[in-house]
Amino acid sequence: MALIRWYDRGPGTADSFDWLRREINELFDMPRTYDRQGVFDRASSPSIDVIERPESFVIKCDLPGVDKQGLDISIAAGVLSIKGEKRLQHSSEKAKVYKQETWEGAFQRTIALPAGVDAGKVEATYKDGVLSVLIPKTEEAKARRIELKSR
Amino acid sequence: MATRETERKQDQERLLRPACLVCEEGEGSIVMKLEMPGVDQDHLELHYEDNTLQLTGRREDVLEEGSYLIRERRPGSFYQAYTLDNTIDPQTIEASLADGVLTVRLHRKEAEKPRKITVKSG
Repeated sequence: MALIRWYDRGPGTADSFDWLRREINELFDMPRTYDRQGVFDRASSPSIDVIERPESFVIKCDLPGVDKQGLDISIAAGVLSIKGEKRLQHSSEKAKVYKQETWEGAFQRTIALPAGVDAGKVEATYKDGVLSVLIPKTEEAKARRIELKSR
Repeated sequence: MATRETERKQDQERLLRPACLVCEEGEGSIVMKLEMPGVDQDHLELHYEDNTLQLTGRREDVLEEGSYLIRERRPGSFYQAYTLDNTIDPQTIEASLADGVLTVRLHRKEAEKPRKITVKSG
């Protein structure tokens, strides 16, 4: 049995250059290995987005196949840390692995939060392999409209 | 300048290849796990035709409202196609999606499984 990656590749040598060009372009579509940013982050760490909205910050993290119970989200001294363990993978030790692009093991991400967040009202949800953390801004940090007074 | 809506659409139409794990469990059962974070059951499509299994997972959570301070997650939908050879029984393809991981189970045809041949004494 062989799983053959699908290519719509025609015959002839002229196409080979086309194929090579495509192959090079597709290099960038491969899941990339993420950089370490925080001090305690390990080489394999999930990617995150930090989005600022008028009332809050939203942090999104791709964690496909992570055990919800094992996720540890904490805030201390203005630093949000997401810890957990990724154990997707083969159900039995005897499984014969043909190809593995996914990573597994423990991970940790730490993100320094901007000033003016209300650490007491953090909400976290996990859906379809994506962790979302909503951190509201404090009243002082929210943008507010200043009314003009007419004399 | 591209508006946010067209930018969102472009992100959604960009096709990424999901990270995969392919292994064989037990006898003749091939398990493929593909990581598709952010894809729910309604946006997942599996199509089998002409020995080709196509997997498409459309992602809705690209380009969220607000301004990005950090953006590491690659925006895009997921697509992968596999050519199945004739040792696989296409009638028995099973698929399930849980926590952003798509699991596809393929089974070998009975005739293709390894078997012991007994020697007849002549």
